[in-house]
Parts: sequence; structure tokens; C-alpha cells
Amino acid sequence: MKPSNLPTSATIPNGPNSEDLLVLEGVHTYISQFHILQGVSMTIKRGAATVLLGRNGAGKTTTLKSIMGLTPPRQGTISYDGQPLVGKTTFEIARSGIGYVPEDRGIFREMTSEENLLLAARGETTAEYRRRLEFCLELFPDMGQFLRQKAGTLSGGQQQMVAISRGLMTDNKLLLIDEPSKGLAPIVVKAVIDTLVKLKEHVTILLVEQNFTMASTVGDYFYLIDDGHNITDGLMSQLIGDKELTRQYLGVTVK
Amino acid sequence: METNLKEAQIKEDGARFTLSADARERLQAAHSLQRKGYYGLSRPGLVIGGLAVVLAVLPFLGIAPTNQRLIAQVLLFSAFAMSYDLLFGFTGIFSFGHALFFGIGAYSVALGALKFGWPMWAGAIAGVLICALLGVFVGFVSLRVQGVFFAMVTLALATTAHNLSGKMVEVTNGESGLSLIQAQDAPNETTTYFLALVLCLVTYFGLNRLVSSPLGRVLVAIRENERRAEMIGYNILRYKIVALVFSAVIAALAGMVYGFRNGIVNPNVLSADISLLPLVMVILGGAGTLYGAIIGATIIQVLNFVLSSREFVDSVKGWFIVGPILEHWLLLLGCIYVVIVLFLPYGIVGTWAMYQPKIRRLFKRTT
Amino acid sequence: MKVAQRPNLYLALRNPRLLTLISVVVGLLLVLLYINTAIKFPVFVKFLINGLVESAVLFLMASGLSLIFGLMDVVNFAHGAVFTWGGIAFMWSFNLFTMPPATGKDSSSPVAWMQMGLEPLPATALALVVGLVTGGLLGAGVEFLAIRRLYGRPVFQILLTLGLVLVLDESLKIVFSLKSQNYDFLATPWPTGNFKPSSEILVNWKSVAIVVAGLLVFGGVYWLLNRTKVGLVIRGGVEDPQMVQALGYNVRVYFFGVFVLGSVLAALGGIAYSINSAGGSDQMGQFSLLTAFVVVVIGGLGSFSGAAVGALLVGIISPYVAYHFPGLADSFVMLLLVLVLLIRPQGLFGGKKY
Repeated sequence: MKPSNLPTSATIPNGPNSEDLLVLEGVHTYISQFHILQGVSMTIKRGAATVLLGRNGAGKTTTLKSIMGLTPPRQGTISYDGQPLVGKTTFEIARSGIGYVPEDRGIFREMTSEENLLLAARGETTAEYRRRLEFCLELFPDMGQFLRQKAGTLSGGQQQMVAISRGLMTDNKLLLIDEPSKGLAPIVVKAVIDTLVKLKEHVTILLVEQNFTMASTVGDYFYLIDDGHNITDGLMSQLIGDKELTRQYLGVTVK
Repeated sequence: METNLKEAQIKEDGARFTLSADARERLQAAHSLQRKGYYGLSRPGLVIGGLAVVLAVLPFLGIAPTNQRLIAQVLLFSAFAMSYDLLFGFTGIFSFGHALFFGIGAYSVALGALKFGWPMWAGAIAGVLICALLGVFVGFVSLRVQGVFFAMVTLALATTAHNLSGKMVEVTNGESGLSLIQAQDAPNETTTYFLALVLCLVTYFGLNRLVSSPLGRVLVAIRENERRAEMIGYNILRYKIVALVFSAVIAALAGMVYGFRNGIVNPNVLSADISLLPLVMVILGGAGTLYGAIIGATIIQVLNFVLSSREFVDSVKGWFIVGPILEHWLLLLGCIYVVIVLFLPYGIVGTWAMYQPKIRRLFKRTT
Repeated sequence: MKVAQRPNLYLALRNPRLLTLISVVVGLLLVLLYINTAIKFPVFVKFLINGLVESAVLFLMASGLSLIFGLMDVVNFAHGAVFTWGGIAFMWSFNLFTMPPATGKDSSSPVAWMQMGLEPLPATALALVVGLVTGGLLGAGVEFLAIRRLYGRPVFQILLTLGLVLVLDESLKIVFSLKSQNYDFLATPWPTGNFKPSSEILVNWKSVAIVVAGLLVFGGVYWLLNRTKVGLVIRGGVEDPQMVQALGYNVRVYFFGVFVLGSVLAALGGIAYSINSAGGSDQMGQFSLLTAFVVVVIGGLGSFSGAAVGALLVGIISPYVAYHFPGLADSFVMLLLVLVLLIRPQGLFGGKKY
């Protein structure tokens, strides 16, 4: 299926330099014999937040995993900042400047929060690590209280703070964030939304999200996929107006 | 859909190093082919029955004593390997101490005859009873730990028995062992040969019956997914103990025949090498098929016989690299075994079952 | 949750691990004191020293296993074979290094150049390098050929490494052209001699060296695992290898490194064993593997300090058992293994489910 009514780059108002940071073209991914992604194409604009929407099992998580090389695509191209990612191993992809915050947050439960962050600060000097830690503590002032605590004992929201901070400990240009609202209390979701809005100024974000409030507040652009195909995409403001689309594919009604 | 995916991922993780899905189906088809022999004889059953008839008349046709001894060895190790297959191939239990039962079987007849003056059959019954009880005991205390831990416990028990058999000189004569030839009613070569033949046949058909019974299906279910079998409501510990007891009794009988065949029982029957042999045989032949164990035992014993013969060792002396490997039987065994585990993880039978359709297609008549 | 966690005596005492440690140490002391009433004081000290040396040897052996099996969850039966290879390679090269330069037909042998007629100290140092490198190379080979494709597949690990045991044990006999089961030193390795802290107690310098080596290894590995980024990567990689990859680390390289390190430690264990018992055999690894397994399980899988405590426990008790129940000396460790697995399979410090 061809993506329809793609906005041309000329119509994009607030891309800082109207440049494509990450481009997926016709990506096909299989998990064992299941054909999960059946030709997904996307363009992630530099400096903006793009939200990937779709029902359960649409292939959102697999898209992120395909970008990270955790489920390598069999067909299609993924280029990041002008270099191809398909065929590279996960750690090479991560080193090229992509941070990944997986669905279950993927924190190391047996380590303290601080150790989690230290591990993420790959190859940084102590001074640089301090600077980044300061930045994260500004973003999540609460985190200072549980830096020495074992990450496995933290609440979901606290774990999410650690997981997102981990993505900020190196010089990442792009953050892939998978369902940060999953399993969190509504008030915590609100805090995460605020953080992500602040974060948008520093880093390009590709967000997978089911929570429509979060998606519509954080996102500048959206991509809607279903059954491993692109359905549509465009500006977030367009989607909010399109009641039919949101009802059909997201099962939500927008007030 | 998402749970499906997760399961698929887990399955893929499990299968990454082994079989594709359809190859596994073919393998299962081959296994069920073999288990069809519930009321009638299956194909391997017919082959084995036919072979048994040939083997039964061989002594009357004047077979060379060396060959007769070799065949007896093959037969008794086939029974031993099948008893191991019941544990490893059908129930998924790892034991590294199967020599414990094998050795205790051998020692019980030898000790009964030489130290207590019992007739052979009394020693044999005592050995079977001891091993059955020991099986219950070992199973009860150690089957609650799984995988490598159970393996380590059995290895530890067998090593302890091995140490004790060497140390308790006044009972076991230590390293020099007990000579069964001194016993009056010890079976002669031909009787031993027939004992081995009967043991092998009874083991094959008995275990075949066992694994195709409802009990056998539960054992396979435990192998496939222990948690699920437990959830369905089976007391898996009890079933595992039953498997272990059957296996222990057969191993004990095989050990007795081994004692008769060698004429001597020494601590070697409890050694780690004896524990390792049935595992290697089962892996080589193909686990979970019974007749795979027979094939594996045959190959290993015949290879051992040929390669350890003086003529062979002399003839390969000085060959570059190959020579030293062929000269050292255990080294060769290790190499074969590693290659099998790496490249044919389903053994000869499993690999044959996987590629049978392809090979058939190659030789299909073109019309 | 509001209060930052500070080192606090009360909290420290509530730590179950520490409690276990304290109760184990106290219990051990009580048992020792009890036995002590039956024997004289110098004997007691002698036993304690023997026990410490035994513990150090056990620990060196178990530390490698603790890394490979306890931490990385890889079941490596070839570990014992690496132990044997390390010990025999050490003895073999030490014997060669101390031999006077070859003359006549001996000089045509491919290892003739190793016969340098060295003094014990340089010969021991060089042989140590040979032994450790042998262990490292074997570990690298085993990882590269076998374990690499089998992470997370314990059944295949067991099957394959069992085969490797056969191959390694047999090729050992070929490579070092062993004529019999036992292999001996032709000269005494450094450090030789002894000293007397009191008139009735005699301590060998080699015992001191072994204990020091054990302490150094403990300190080094503990520091590596808990205080360095390498340690973080390894601990993280054990928990969630994919996530560590996604943070930009090549987990395979780190795992390979740990495996090689574990094998080097196994070789060091073999060397310490051969020095301690002034000789070795081609079977020494098999038995030591079981003992090391006991130590690792007692300490708890995945707990490196646990392995040290386990080694101390087994090492200090075993001279007493050997003294009071000479028949049980060999079987003691096996029985201990069975007991531990049945009573507390997760070990003293283990948090894992086994």
C-alpha cells in the first residue's frame, strides 16, 4: 500500500532546517515466519517529534526494533543522517547516535540507577558524564533521590525516568521511545508528557504511543500504520481534526 | 497477535540453532511412525525382530568367539543406551551418573556370588531391587533440582560410588576387582550372549510399549514443557521417578550382563566413562527413538573394537595428524561426538528423518 | 523513598546477605572451636593454615567457574580440562626451562630451545606465563568454536562441552606425551623453603604465595566487576544483552573476554593445585571441577564474593574431615554438593531461582 497524501517538505512549517534525519523505505521485517512489517516507509524530521500510531500488533515496536537492528529487516533501506543502517549490528547503530527506550523500559534491575546511567554514558569522560547527569537531574529533579537505589525496586515512573535519562547520557541525535505511558499512573503520564515536550528542544524524538493525549501533545508529525503497512501520515494537527481516521485506526474519539 | 508474536519469538530463540519448523514436523512424523507399533510391529520393530532371529541362530552356525563377544557387548550396551534414552530422550532428564546403576548391578551379582555365596539369580534380583530403590531415592531427593544441577548430583553420586568401590578393598577387592569366573554358576560365553540378546529385545519392545502408553505420553509432555505438564495437573516428580526407576533397573541388568561378559567386575564399571558412553550413543543415534540408541551403541562399540585392535593401531602409526587421533580411541570418540552435536544434533535417525523426503525425491522415477 | 540511602548500621544489619555471612562465620568458628577442644593448639593452627591454602586453591578454581557458570550462566564442563591443561603446561614448561641446554640428539626436538637451565624463580615466572596463556587460548578456542553459538542453550552447552572434555583430556596426553596418569615436577618451583612463626608451626612459602594469589585474584575480579565500566557491561549483558547492545556495546566481545578470563583463572587454579600438591595428574581437573561446582553453588550463582566464602568454607572444613574421617575425604565434597543442592539450592548468596 502506498502512503497517501504525504506532505511535501515544503509544507512542513517548523522543521528547524527541514532536513530528514531518519528515512525508512519499504522496510519488510519478519519475526520467525510472521511477516510483521510489510513495507513501512517513514521520514523523521530533524528536531521534531514524530509519533508512530497504530493498533496493538500493527508493527510499531517492530519498526523501532528494525531501526535498532534488533529485528533486522529483510528488505528495504533505513538511512540515518545520510548513512545506511540496514546490515549494521545493534551496537554500531547505537553508536551512530540513536538512543533506544524500549517498551518495558529495559532497565538493568540488578544495578543501581546510577550504574544504569554510567553504563549508558559510553566512552564519556567523567566531566562529560557529570554534565549530562546534571542535565537529566534538571529534567527529572526527583531522580536524585533514587540514584543509589537498585533499579529493580523503583516504581514504573521512576524506571521510566532512568530509561529516558539513559538515552541522554551520550550524544544521541535521535531518541526512539516506545510506549512511555505504558503501565504508568495518569499523573505520572502527565509528568512524562511535560518532560518529553521539554526534551524536544534538545533531541529528535520518534515516539510510539497509544495514549492519544501524550501523542497529540508531544508529536509534531504522525505516522499511522496498521498490519505492517503505512496508512497515512502528516501533521499532528491534521490528525486531531480527522475524527473518522482516529476512530477507525486508533479506537479513540478526540474531543 | 502480540502474545502470538512473543511466543513465536521465544520459539525462534529455542529453535535458532536447530531445526526449521517443517523439518521438526517431519522429525515428529518419523517419531510417531516409530511409536505406531502399539498393537502391531512398527517398521523398526520388524527390522529388529528379524535381526534378533539372525542373531539367535548365529551361535549355532559357529561364529568366531571374538565376534560373539563383540555382539554381546553391542547388545548389552544397546539396552544400557536405551535405558538412558528413556531418561534423556523421552523425559528430558539429564543424568551424568548412569554408571551408578550399571555398576551397582554388576557389583551386586559379583558380591552376592563371591562374598555371600548366593546363586546368580539371587544376586540379580537383589541388584534389581537395590537399583529400583536407589532410583526412587535418587529421584526423590534430587529430581527437584533441574538440568545441570540434577546432572551434577548424579555425577557426584556416581563419583562417590566409584571412589568407594576403589577404597573399600576388603569388600570389593579394590582396583583389581572381583572375578566372576571363580563363581560356579556364572553363565558361560554363549549363555551370556543369549542373556544380552534377550535383555536387548525385552528392553526394546518393553520400552517401546512403555513410551507409547499414556505414561509415555506424559513423559514426553514433561520433556516438551515441564511447566505446562505440571499445570495440566500431572505430578511430574512422580512421573520422573517412575522413568528413573525403569531406567535404573534396565541399567542394572545391563551391568550384570557386562559383568558376565567381562568375567570381572572392577571400579571401572562405575567410572565417568561408563556414564558418558550411553549419552554419546544416544546422541549419535538420535535421542527419543530407542532404535537410535541401538544404532549408536552398535556404531560406537564396533568402532571401538576395530580401532583398538592392534593391527589397526599399528597400521595408522605415523600418519600425519590423523594417526595420533585414530590411535587414541577416546579422542576420536570425542571428535565424532562434537561433530554430531554441532552439525547433526538430532543424531543419525533424526537427520535421516529430516532429509528422507529430499533423498526420496532425488531418486524418484521420472516418467 | 524520600530519604536517600546512606550506609547505616541498622540497614546494613538488615541485609540478609550480610546476616547469612555473619551467621556462617560465627557458626564456622563455633564448629572449629568445638573440634579444637579435641586437638592441640599447634595442630589447630596447622589445620587452619592448610585450610586457608586449600581455600585459596579452591577459590582460584572456582573463581573462573563463578564467572562463566555463575555469572554468565554458561555450563562449561571443559573448565576442568582447562584446569588440567594449565597445570600440566606449567609443570611441563617449568621442567623444560630448568633443564640444561639440550645436546646431541635431544637438540633436534622441537622444544629443545626451551631448555635454558634457568633458576627456579625465572623458570617459574616463564612457566606461569606459558600455563596462563595456554588456559587463555583454550578458553578462546572453546568460546569461539562452541559456546559462541550456544548462549542461553544449556542443554547443548552441556552436550558439547562434555565432548570437548574427551577431546581435551586425550589430546593433553598426546601434546605433553604423558606416559602415566601422574605428572611431576623435576625441580621445585619458586618459592621454596619455609619459615617458622613459632617453634611448633611450619609454614611453606609456596602456601603463602598461593594464598596471596587467591587474595589478588579476588580483589582484582571484584574490582573489575563492581568498580569498572567493563563490570557494568558484563553485569548488564547478563541481565539483558539486547539492551546493552542498544546502548552501543558489543556484548559478544565482552562475553568472550569474560570467558577467556575465566579460563585463565582455571589455568591459574591448575597451577596453584600442582604447586600445592607438588605434582598433578591428567585427572586432576575432573575432580576439581566438581569441587569448584560445589563451591560456586554454596556461594550462590552469580555472586562472586559468595564463591570466595564457599571456598573458605569448604577449604577450611576439609582438613578436619580428612583428619577425623579419612575414608570420607574424597566423598566429602560430593556429599556436601548433594546436601547443598537439596537443602538450599540457591546457595548462601544466590538470588537466582535454582
